[in-house]
Amino acid sequence: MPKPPLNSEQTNIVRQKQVSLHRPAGDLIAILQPVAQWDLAGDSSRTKLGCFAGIAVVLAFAAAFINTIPFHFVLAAALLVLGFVLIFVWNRKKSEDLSDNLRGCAVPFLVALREDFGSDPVEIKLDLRPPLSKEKQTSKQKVDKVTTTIYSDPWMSGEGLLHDGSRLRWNVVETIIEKSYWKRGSSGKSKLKTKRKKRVEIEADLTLKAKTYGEKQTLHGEAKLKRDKLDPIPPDEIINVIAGLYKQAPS
Amino acid sequence: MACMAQRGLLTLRNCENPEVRNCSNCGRPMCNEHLSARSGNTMCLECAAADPAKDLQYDAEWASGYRREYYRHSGYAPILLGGLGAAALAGAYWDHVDHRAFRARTAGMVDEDERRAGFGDS
Repeated sequence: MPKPPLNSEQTNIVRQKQVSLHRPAGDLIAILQPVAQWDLAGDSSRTKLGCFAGIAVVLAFAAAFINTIPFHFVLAAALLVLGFVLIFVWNRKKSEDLSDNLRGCAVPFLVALREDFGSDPVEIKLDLRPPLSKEKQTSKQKVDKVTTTIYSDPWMSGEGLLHDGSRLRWNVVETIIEKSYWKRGSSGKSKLKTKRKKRVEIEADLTLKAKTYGEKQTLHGEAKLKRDKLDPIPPDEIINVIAGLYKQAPS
Repeated sequence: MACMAQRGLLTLRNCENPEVRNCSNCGRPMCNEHLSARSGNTMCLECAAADPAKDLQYDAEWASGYRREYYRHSGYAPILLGGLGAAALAGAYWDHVDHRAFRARTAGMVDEDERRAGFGDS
């Protein structure tokens, strides 16, 4: 997939990995969707780069031991340099990586609710730094050979006026618990084992408009989820909380 | 004639934009916004809706498919705004799969669950 061209605003988002916008939902989608596609294309190109780097290093070692190839040491050295250059580029491109929450949850959430928001501006704040970045690490403890690291990722919050006149506020916070320990196998080799789990807290407030629903009232809903994988939560989880509030609304 | 599509997911309301053409599949009048670009503007979004689980392109077709699937698996009944009629609601809720179940029943066919004991039956 080719990387879509980004304008200056989108380039800033990629560089700063922070979004703070106050625009109609359609405009937000028009800004964030290409950024999400850019990140997806970047992910696949990084995977290819990593594979090529690995292959180059393996071929370099193979070439060093095959005497039948003329100048095999020169070829091995060239392949090794190529491998290290590719690893350097891969590492540099890794710093451009955005959180998968953008394309896995935030963009589909906005697209699904675009017609509910209508043409009024929606305020959205996104933290697109990867969930396991050092900036999001809140604690690190080592107890009995097990290192527990906790990351707090309040990655999305927003507020907007819905078409029925209700005001919606939502907030998503993820807490990732990473446990790592060294395990010695039967062959005597030590391996670092890492397990990650995440808790997701979704909160939503819906202030109903008196003219539409008879009386003005603010409804509060929340959901706490546990996940064994770090994959982004589907937008359904946030919409379920908001839909739960609408179920309480007087008809 | 006005567009017969419904807008929204949590609350539904009539689109009421002026009609541009009829959907080649369901025949309902549609505005420009509710004609599917993927079908070359010949079908409405609901008829052209993609399977949201398989589709990675988040556009109007995806949103329409997502709404249909969300209502189906969550059982959520949207609030109807602006006097949206029962016929319009039916269009948002029931598709050919649901209709097929009703047709089978009326044609005298017996549901497999009624013929023999299911998981919940002793």
